[in-house]
Amino acid sequence: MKLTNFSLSIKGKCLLENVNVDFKSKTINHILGKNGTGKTCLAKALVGAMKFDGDIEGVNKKVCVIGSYTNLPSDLKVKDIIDVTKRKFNVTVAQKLIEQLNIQEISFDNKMKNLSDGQKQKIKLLFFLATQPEIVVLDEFTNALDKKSCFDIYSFLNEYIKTSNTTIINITHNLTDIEYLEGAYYLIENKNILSNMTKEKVVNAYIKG
Amino acid sequence: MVRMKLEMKRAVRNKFYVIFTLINLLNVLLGYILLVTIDKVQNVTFQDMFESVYTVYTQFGTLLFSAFIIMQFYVDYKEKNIFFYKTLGFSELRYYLTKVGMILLATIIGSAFSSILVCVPYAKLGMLPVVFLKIEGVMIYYTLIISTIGFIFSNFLVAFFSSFFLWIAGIVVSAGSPFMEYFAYYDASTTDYHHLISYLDGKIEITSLLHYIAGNYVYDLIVFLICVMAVLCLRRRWAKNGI
Repeated sequence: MKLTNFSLSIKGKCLLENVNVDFKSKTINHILGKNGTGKTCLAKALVGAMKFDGDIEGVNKKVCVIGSYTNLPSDLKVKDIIDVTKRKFNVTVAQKLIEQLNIQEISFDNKMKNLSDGQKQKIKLLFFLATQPEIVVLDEFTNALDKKSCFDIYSFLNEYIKTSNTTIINITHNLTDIEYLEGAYYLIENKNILSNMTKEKVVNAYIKG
Repeated sequence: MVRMKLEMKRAVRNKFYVIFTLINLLNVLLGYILLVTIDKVQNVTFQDMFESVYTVYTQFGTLLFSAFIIMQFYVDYKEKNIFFYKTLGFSELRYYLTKVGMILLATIIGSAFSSILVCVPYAKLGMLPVVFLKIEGVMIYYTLIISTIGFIFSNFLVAFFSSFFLWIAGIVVSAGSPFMEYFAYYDASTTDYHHLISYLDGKIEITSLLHYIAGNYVYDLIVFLICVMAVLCLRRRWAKNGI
């Protein structure tokens, strides 16, 4: 995925201006940025839910975003989600994801609203990844998760990126993500997305502001 | 089919069908209570009961049903479930139609229960289809109008008061001229309601009433087409409200 002359504004406020950046394919691309720098707006623009100027190469690809604004209905049971996932998408892929995410450990009779945050995120991963997207945008995905759930998900994503043809864009301000998920690093600063950064450099720049 | 089945599952899981049926039964109860307490009717006949229950549907329907219909859309917007539907291949219109389909099934169940409660105590089983068709005609109208408002507005209070405002405005406009009756077609002040009363008073034949009932469904069909056009015109609001 590549952004060319990409600009993004919301209610007259310019968030990103004339950005040119190329995300590495089949890699976890971490984008760090402070609150209000336009991270979530960027994620929404990538799936076509927000207007932008410029070009997004790859926007025609199968893109899915997993964040706090892409949820599964809370009144459905886990078994309902699994059922619809298997019916609508590839059964083999869905079954593999169920095993990789250890979803068997969750009671299938539970409603989504009764699950822990970590369990909800796992079910969301199952549903959205079963669509076999080419690009996955994770927006503040590990926020509010306990350590065990975070590590389960890190371990899954590290394995997933090796075995799938997917490019992941992880928009975050959780430095633990950077520590445990290998990939490429980007920083949103001064209405731009800085690329070609090392892990240390991006963390330092983020912390020191 | 998978999508409709999923929507029905949601309605079962969140007890929408149960609550909706109970509100219908409450309407029947309210119809009876109003007859006995306000109208002071000693011996409630089938005609009294049908007229009173139908009046409750036409006069209080917006207040009683709108909150529950709007909730079916509001919850999706509030929980940010729209991307889930998009991933399943729903378009804006398909989403609206699936919701309307799910709600209409609830209205059919509710109207059937209400009709049975009105007819069976008086052994008027022959009148069941007429009672059902009249009540369901009103319920289809409510479902279409309120669902469209629920689709457009993500704020529950705005949606609720918009449906309330539309109802009151319709009555005011229809009072201005007989040509404006279509703005409050099912209201007790309009010709359609008087046709039913005329039938219950024995002034017109069943064939005439069935003719008018067919008119009710043609009206609902036109309202449906207008609602579909409104949804298509305002389709961008779907993603804006729910992502």
